[in-house]
Amino acid sequence: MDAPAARTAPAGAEAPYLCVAGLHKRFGATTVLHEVSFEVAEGEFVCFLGPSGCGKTTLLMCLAGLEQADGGSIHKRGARLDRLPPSGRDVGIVFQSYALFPNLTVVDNVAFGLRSRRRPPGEVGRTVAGLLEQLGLQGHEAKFPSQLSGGQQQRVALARSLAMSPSLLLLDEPLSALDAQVRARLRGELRELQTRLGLTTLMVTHDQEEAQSLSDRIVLMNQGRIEQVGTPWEVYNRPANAFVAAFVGAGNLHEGVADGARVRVGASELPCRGCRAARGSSVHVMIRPEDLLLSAQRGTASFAPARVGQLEHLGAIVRAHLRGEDGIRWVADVPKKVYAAHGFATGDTLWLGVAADDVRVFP
Amino acid sequence: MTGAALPARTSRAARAAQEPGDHLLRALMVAYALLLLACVFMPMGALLQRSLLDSSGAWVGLANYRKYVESAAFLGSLRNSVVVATASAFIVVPLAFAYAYALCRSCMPAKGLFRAAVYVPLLIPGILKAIALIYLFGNQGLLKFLLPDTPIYGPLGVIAASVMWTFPHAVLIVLVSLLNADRRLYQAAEVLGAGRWRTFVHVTWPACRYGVTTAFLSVFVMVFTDFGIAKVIGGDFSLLATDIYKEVVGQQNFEMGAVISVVLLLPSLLVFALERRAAGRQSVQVTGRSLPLVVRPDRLRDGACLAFCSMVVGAIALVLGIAQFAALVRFWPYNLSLTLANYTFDMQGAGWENFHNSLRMSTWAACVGTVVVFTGAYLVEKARFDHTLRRTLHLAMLLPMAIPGLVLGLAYLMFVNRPDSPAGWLYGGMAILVISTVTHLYSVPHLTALTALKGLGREIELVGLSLNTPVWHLFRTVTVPACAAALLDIWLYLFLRSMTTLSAIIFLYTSQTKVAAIAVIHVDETGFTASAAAMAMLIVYACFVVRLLHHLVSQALLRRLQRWREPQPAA
Repeated sequence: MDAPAARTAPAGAEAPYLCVAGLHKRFGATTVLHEVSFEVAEGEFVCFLGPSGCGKTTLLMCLAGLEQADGGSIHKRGARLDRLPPSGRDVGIVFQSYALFPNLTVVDNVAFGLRSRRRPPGEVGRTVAGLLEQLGLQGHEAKFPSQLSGGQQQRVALARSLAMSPSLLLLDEPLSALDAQVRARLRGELRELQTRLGLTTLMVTHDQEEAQSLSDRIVLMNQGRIEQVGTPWEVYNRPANAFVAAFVGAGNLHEGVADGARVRVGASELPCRGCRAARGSSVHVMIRPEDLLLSAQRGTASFAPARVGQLEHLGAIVRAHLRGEDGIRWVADVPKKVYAAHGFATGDTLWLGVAADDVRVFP
Repeated sequence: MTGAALPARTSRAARAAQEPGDHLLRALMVAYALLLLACVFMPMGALLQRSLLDSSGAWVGLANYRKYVESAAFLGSLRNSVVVATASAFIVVPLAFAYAYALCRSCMPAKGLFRAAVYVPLLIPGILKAIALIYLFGNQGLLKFLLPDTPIYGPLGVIAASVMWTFPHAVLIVLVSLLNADRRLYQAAEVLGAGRWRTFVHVTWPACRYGVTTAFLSVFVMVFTDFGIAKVIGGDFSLLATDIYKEVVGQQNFEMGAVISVVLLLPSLLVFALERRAAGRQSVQVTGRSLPLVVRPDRLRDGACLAFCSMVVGAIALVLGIAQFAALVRFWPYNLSLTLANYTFDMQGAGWENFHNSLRMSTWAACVGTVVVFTGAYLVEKARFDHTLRRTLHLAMLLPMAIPGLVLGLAYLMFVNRPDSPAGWLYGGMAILVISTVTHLYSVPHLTALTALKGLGREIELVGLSLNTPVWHLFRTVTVPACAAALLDIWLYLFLRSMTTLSAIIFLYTSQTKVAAIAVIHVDETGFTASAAAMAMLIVYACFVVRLLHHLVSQALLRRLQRWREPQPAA
């Protein structure tokens, strides 16, 4: 990624819609944001992903103006945003707790912002009705939040922030208070709505699956720093470091020793390509479960025999837990069809293999 | 970026990003800081200063304290106060625990009635309970034969009346801690084979230990610092609180009054500090969602609970009944024919105007107090900035809890009576009674308001900001309506307590602003006990009527405003 500070000002076709540069935030002695910089294009859906306490919510609050950063800048369309009060930033925000006004009906909640801007009642009515229809909330107009299900409440919260037609939508873990099925459905609806409106959206989540299924790009954070910015594909397949590799998706992450074009893990020697670590230095080695090959006979890609332990039947794949003779544990995903053709069972000994391209080595 | 450049940038950015409403909130916060300074700290400072001066106003350092500590009165009064307060706490808390336990952990019949009965004594001034005790156990008392040799005037009477007076407060405190029981803990205990006793020791007790301790400390402080009951039924039994009154009103010795006030203040401050610490620890324990406990019937336990609660309610009814009866009797105990003559108050220095004053003062205190308390709690809870100032305001708002009413009242007297006082013009008016009462009662409604505001969730304000809504608009359309129930409760609390308390105003009234509670003391002093009972009963009637009105108004208002609390009817 380019240094973002270098291209804050120029107004060209490829100028970023939102540009965050060197954002810094401390709470007392702890620094929660370390010089955070990234860019977002117009209409993009970006997720801030990371473990709890990584600073992703603070980042969102700084963007909304509900927290003050100690340093750095935020520009939207080239205009400085971080000096403006929250109400001047033209952003919509939805919280995990929905924060619906409990004493107002669905209609009054959605109309709240428009009415405090003193828009004509006719316009308010049309906008609200349109939003409720888009979000499938017709028939619930006169209900109070406590009379709605969690999913409906979340839709009302979304409608309320969309009513102001914000130029930027901020979502703070909007789906995590919902149960799994509702969450999956809302996820789809949310992405569809966002695409239809072409609304630039930033969402905080700690659920990597959610981030991968929803976003155009993921900003992966840890301890107040950005670990990687990339598309879901990049983050999963080209993790920038061991933290990203471990956080996104399942994986076999082991300590090893670099040895030129090979890397030693336990008693095995694995091939690797483009490994730049110095010979003899200790490294982290990561192999995705689906990249691990299982075979009954030793093949060219094989590196060690291992004993099959528990098998998890997860539908499309079978996840096998194996243990090498050196005691190292491996997890391999086998497609359903492959498993059906070759069928193995707990207690069998199989050869583990891997292609050099699929072995990732991090310092 | 250099380290030195950072702070300047920070403050500029923070200033630039202010909401228009922030100026208002900040100005209000400063106003509250000044208000608290004027209503709490400056009067207390005046009191403290006075205790270090002699009667001519010359600085004498701790000489007054030395003189007081060496006097014969000090040790006796201190011992009496400690004994009476400790005894009352030891009697009240077990009774209150049993009553609260019966209310929420038994299946006895008429629980609603027993629950409502707890609130009845709150409508009765403490002095009326003392007067009722005199009619029951005094020299010509109805039940004198039960106590033939022990005079009720003195420690016994003070303790008995204090027990009755503090009982409902203790029940309410314990009740809260018993109510937040988690069913799952009890189920776990049962599955693990714990018997009743083990369950009580390991599940029930830890959950309500904090409530019981708080109740104990509260009762201790209430009795330790109370003055009305001891005045009426204490006889010659000297207590710290009555000593202050005697020094100030009897001997015009303000310096000594100030000294005893500081002595009275110390244990209250200590208890306040202890309670704050305990509260900090408790808040960590109450986390997560708990399921309400379901109590199964148990004949023996339910019967015992019913018998116990009936006795308590019987005692309350007896006290109220005897007071009413005495107020209606022509000449106790020789002519028991009924009359309304005691309600004419045709004696010197007391009359219906005192009752009218009470109504006026309590209405003012309740209305002004509700607005001030709620707005203050809003600032403390919802403002997004000035964390330290908000924290300080919060502590200052809790502080009146630690200041005995009598001490606060004396502090006010000294503050407004100083020749150089900026508040001298207040003296003699109704305003100072209202201010003193609201300040005295501030802390409990403040906590009520905070709880209600916390229940509303912090994000509500953030959403308001992002929807481009001014703070006051959100306050009017969401915050206040959503907290309507709490606001009504605060109003009621302030009204009832203003009607029945006298300690905070006993030094501040004039003949024009004398309220009924003070008139009761004066009438009783002159020997017209029946008229004193009648005057006290007026307070009780007013409190009952207002309680009833509050109930009707809140029903109507909540029906209108809070339909949202009802779950959805089955579709």
